[in-house]
Amino acid sequence: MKIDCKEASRLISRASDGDLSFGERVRLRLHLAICDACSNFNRQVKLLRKGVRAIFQKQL
Amino acid sequence: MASEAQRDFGREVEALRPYLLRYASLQLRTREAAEDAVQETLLAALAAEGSFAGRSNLRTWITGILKHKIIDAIRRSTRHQAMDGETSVEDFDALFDQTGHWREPPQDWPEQALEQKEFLAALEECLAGLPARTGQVFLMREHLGFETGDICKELGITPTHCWVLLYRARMALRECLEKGWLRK
Repeated sequence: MKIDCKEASRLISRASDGDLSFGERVRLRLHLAICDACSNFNRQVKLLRKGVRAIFQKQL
Repeated sequence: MASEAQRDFGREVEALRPYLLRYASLQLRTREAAEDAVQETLLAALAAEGSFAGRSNLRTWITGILKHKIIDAIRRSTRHQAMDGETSVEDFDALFDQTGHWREPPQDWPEQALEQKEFLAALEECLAGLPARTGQVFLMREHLGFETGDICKELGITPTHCWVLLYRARMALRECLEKGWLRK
């Protein structure tokens, strides 16, 4: 079953909290393989996490 | 009477106050709540001087105490907080067209952003602009490192609410950063 970017964006967010089922992970991976925008969002979510850590560690 | 060593320790602890206050302000939103948490932390640190002795880093040690005070404060405040309008994902549907594609596709952010002062400053500003509960849940997850299940329990919300709030935070932050920081 194919998913659109709207659905993918929700799965990307939940994936970073470790909440995806096996089927969801597969659908997300297939979508990311063909979608640059969602791949960018996926990286952004990771950068946001690293950024929050950097804020609290470094420059305060 | 305090010994010379105790006074030195007191001064070192006190010197960390501005740092601790900024740290607490990011998580607790109201100046008052942040000041209370910092005050409690400084008192606890002074009382526990003996248990610090010999440890490497005073700031790390005190920040650890502050984290616990922040979690206590979050627990106390949740009883009085409404979740008005923060629990729906539908408001973000407008970011997608009818076929489910991004109207404004997310950009490719450079990995070096993390080393840019401007990026971190913009992120801090965007964090401060999130609705209170959304920002709190996001920082509990990303900074304090809670699992979503524990966040639900602490705040008395359902898992669905929890991931909606995290989704909202991430979508809002990326939009905020692309409008501010990335355009510069």
